Amino acid sequence: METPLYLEERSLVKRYGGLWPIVINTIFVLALFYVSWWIFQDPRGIMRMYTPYVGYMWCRWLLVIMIWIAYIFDFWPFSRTWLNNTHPVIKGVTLTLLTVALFTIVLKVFFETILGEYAIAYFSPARLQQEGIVEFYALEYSAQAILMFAAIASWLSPAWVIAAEGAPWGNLKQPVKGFSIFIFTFFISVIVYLVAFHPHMGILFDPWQKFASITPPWWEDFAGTVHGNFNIAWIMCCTVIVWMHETIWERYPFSMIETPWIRRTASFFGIIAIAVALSFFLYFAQELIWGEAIRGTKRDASPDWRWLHVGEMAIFWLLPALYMHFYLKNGINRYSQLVNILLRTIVSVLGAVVLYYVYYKTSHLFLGTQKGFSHPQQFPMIPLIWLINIMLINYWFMDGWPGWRLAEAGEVAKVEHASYQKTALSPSFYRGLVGGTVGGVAVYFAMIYLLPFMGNALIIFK
Amino acid sequence: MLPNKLEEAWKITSENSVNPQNSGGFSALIEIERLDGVKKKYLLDSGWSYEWIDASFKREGIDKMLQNNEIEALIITHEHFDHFWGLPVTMKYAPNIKIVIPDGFYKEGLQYIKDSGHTGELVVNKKGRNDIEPGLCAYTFDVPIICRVFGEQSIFANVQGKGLVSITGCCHQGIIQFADTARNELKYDNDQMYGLFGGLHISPFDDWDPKYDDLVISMKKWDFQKIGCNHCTGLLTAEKFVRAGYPVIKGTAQYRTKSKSYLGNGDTITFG
Repeated sequence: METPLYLEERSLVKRYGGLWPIVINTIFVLALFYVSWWIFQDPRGIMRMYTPYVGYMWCRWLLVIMIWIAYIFDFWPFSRTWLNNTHPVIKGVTLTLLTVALFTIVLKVFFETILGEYAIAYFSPARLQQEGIVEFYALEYSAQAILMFAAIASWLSPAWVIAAEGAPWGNLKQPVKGFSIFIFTFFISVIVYLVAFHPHMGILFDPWQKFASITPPWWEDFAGTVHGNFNIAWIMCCTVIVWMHETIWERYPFSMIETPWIRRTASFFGIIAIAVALSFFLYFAQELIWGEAIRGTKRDASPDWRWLHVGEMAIFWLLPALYMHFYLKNGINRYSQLVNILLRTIVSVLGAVVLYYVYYKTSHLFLGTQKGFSHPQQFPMIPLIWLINIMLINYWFMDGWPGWRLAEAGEVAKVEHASYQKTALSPSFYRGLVGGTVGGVAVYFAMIYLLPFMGNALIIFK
Repeated sequence: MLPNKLEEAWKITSENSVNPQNSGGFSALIEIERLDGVKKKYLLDSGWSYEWIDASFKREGIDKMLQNNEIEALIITHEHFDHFWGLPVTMKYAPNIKIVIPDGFYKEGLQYIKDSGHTGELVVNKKGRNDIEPGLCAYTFDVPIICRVFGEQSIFANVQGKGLVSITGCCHQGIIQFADTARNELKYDNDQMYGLFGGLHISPFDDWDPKYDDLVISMKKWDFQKIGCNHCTGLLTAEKFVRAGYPVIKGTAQYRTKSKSYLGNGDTITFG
């Protein structure tokens, strides 16, 4: 029997009545976000890590390490007693500092020393500087490579626990289970990195490193660019779909499959299929709104940025979905599972559109980013993932403090999530499946028809 | 201190700058010959360092042209320091010159124009095409630029019997978008993208990104016959252009220009 994760077995109860916990936590998380953004990331702030790649590397890797702690190692070596009895603030500070310390080790020991000094020079800023690259770009180039690894790991690490259910190590105890999944997902991440991003790094230097990587990269013809952002697009979508699957989709529809190995395989590859379809759709949507991409140009007309923006749009969707899951307990629970999921998806997409509009309209006024959609200093993934990190610290590490707390022994937490009857594979189910498929295709074509009008109606920059 | 005490003002700036000797900036004189043989001059941007720009203007005789009202207008491409902050030097010689700026200047920038001593006409070019004279137009692009600048204008000139010559300050909008705009909205001789001059803003610090390779690869289909790149184009980009077989005009590496790989200070390019 697979051991449930701490996050699955813990029970949270509201500390205050009504909407107060939601309001308090929203203010708390946003305040923490802005203060930490100013200290660490803001170009006008103290540490100014939004260069942007150094700051991006840190926020991506902190996310990955938090996933390792919470999902792969299930908080090992911390005991359940410590997790259940320690004040949330102390837990939050301890686990956050651990996250930072672990990434410092990963960065300095694994990437910059083991890989950078003994295998691939571009992982080490010091070695790049020795080769004549100025300090700023040496840091940017190595940070770019290291963060791309994180982009892959932040998809594969949770995907193996959530979609593949940790198989075949799911029944082992910690830390054997954790190390097994960690080593396996790290190994797969290395392979995906070498295929998806090493060719990008191979042409970052002059001349193209044609004996060390594939030049031009293999995706050039069908992506319309030699830039690795093509792979960022579908990998970011994979990351987002993994969390949709885990949170507001409640692992549906793959949870209907009873045979474990089929369910796990279908979930893992199904997520990839949905993500790839999403990434192509979001790329197509940009062409419908902004016109065809023009290779070689800059800013929002260039294919490399369009692919990047696919990932950015996916993150705009992830944030409201996670908020809905963490603080609204999925928000919509009163209907059948399918209807709940459909409505949550619609609401989260609308939330993403609103967030997108507000972000681009205002972010340059308070985050130190650049006005406009496309610019090296306008990188919405950084503040959005930074905010997601803060939400994860609050929800995973601090048990939702100050609005929520752990249920005490014997205390029954009010059930805030829906419980469903098992979906039967009846004739009505198949009729619904056919109807849903037809409806989905109709929605697709309706979107294609409407997007140009919607783009004209929703002008952000005049 | 502005507009009259430029030496004193620049001394203070130098004392408070990390590398004031590097802040030359961009300024180019455009001379056109109309079909009727009349020649007209336009000054594109006014550089950065008062000291450097003043010396450069004197070296090239721009100071006299300004004093004699031989230059029709000062066209500021965008609000960046290296194109705009040397404005008091132009004002020193021709405070009444017409200044043409793109839409999007901040109020501080507009105040700087006043503080520099400008007494002439100020024209704000709206987004899109703005005609200067027959065969010559400016085009304003909505484009976000580093240091919160927004908007840049560039120039298109139709050269009889040759084709279109595109002239830029920094071309933050991207050279392909610049050329694509011309292809979609302008008519020019031989349907030929003939020439290109100015900063192309690709790898100004010789940094690199694979998206720049997209540019190098895709430039081929535009079939430029003469490329005079400089300033923020980046030496590495110029060298990649040459390796790709593009007709890059080499410079003379004079007046502190580092390399002959592209046009530098005091160099001239002719498209007629």
